[in-house]
Amino acid sequence: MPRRPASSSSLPSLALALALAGTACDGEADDPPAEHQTFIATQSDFEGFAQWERFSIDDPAVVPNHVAGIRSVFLNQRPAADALEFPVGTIIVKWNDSDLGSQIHAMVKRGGDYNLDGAHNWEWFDLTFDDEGAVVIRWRGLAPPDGECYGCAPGVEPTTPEGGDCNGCHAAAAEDNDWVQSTVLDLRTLAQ
Amino acid sequence: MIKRIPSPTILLPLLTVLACDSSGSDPADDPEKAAALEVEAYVAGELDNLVTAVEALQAAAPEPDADGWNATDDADAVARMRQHWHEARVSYERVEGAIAVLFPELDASTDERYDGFVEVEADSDLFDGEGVTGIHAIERILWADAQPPEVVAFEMGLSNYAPAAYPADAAQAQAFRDELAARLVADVHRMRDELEPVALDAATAYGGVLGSIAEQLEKVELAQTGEQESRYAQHTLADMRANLEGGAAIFAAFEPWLRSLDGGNEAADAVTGGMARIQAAYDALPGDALPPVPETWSSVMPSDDDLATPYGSLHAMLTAEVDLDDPSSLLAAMVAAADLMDIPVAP
Repeated sequence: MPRRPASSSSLPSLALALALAGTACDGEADDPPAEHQTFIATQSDFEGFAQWERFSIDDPAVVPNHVAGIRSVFLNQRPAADALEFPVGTIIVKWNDSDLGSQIHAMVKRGGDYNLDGAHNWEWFDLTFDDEGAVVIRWRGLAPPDGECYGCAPGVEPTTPEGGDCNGCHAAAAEDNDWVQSTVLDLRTLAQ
Repeated sequence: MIKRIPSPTILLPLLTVLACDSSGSDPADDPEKAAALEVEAYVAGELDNLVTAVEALQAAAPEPDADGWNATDDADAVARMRQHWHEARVSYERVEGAIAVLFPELDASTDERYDGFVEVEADSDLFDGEGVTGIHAIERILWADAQPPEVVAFEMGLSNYAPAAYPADAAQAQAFRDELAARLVADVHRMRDELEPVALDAATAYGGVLGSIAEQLEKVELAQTGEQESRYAQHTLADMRANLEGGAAIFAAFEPWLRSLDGGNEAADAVTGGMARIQAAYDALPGDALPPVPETWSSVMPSDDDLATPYGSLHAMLTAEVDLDDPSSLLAAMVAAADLMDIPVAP
């Protein structure tokens, strides 16, 4: 995919952007597909993610290879009550903002036995913004492409081959929380 | 390489606008939606053709018998399978750019090259539906007697290399038909079925074409080491013609929208002009194979003599057309057109 340099002038902070964006309209994410369907996300599915329900991660602890700083998680729709898994169509966007730069990762419940050998039914994404601030998918799939490092701090290479592997790290939450690591998205308390 | 992402510029207004945007517009009033629907129809048609071709290839496989099959004793059947392989290849290459990113695992199982598979692990059975699979695994068998020397030399250097071969007995012939070919049929069916409900957005469709055009030079450069994509059938130039054909068809879906914008006619003409330049260069080359790479070729500093060869001319033309820093290149024109249509593409 061709790359263009991103603009870096007059950058609003994540906190300011979120605070103001939340007052702009009452828009909600589109309804996710029914449970049995496969959901293949496209770039437009991430548009306006800052309007979704936001969870702030206050825990200062940073897991290896994840950048410190302001961390927010956005969820397009909560799972139903008593859900043991996130439904197909769930989109989780995690935005890390620090002095080193920003990172935006996402995981999408795709279904269809996708990623059978890893985070079953989940697809991984890395997002950025174009020159005008629109969301762009940098990469997606079962794992980061060669030369990419999912979850690494900007400028820091993984210390082990598994260091940048999404499936490996998220496996710790596979049994208890459907591969979702963020404690603010605990299925037991999140379902409504 | 890890790319540091700057905090978003003028992020707030855009997020707000996008979040409040309605997605239920009428295509007649929404040129973006009309373009996306036209692309969906084109992609669906090519995937139908792909499914038809691979099913025909499987059906053309000879009945398994004790001595298997090969291009001499079973010439008619092999010719039919090769013809269906060509058909499948062209259909997929027309739309690969727009859809492969949505199906990374199916794109791998159907279109990965031999070296991509065996660098992970050896393939103990060329004919089963595991390990090395897909359109190039079948190509490698169908043209087992016609491997170009540079391709054999490249592959012999792979740690898990196994020579290409025709099925030598009934078990291998049956595995080819009922496992390897059947796996490809199943995979392309799944790709078509899973794509059917997806509403392709402009960014996915247009970005895919951008990526496909950007990869044209890479496809030519891989020939220098015998690694070109359709290396056994000597079909890589035909693949590239199909890439361009599909790219032109998909871009044509965006043209009414683009031309309705201020400056859109100039932007559209720049893109169609660039595609025409590449088309003319491809048309000037005979056959389906890339021209031979000069023995003294250097990508870093090619000699004038080497640049004057068909391969050198093709390489130089594509180098210029995918140069994002040159505003007159096709790729720069496509990015400019994306900007005009406000289609977000990767920075």
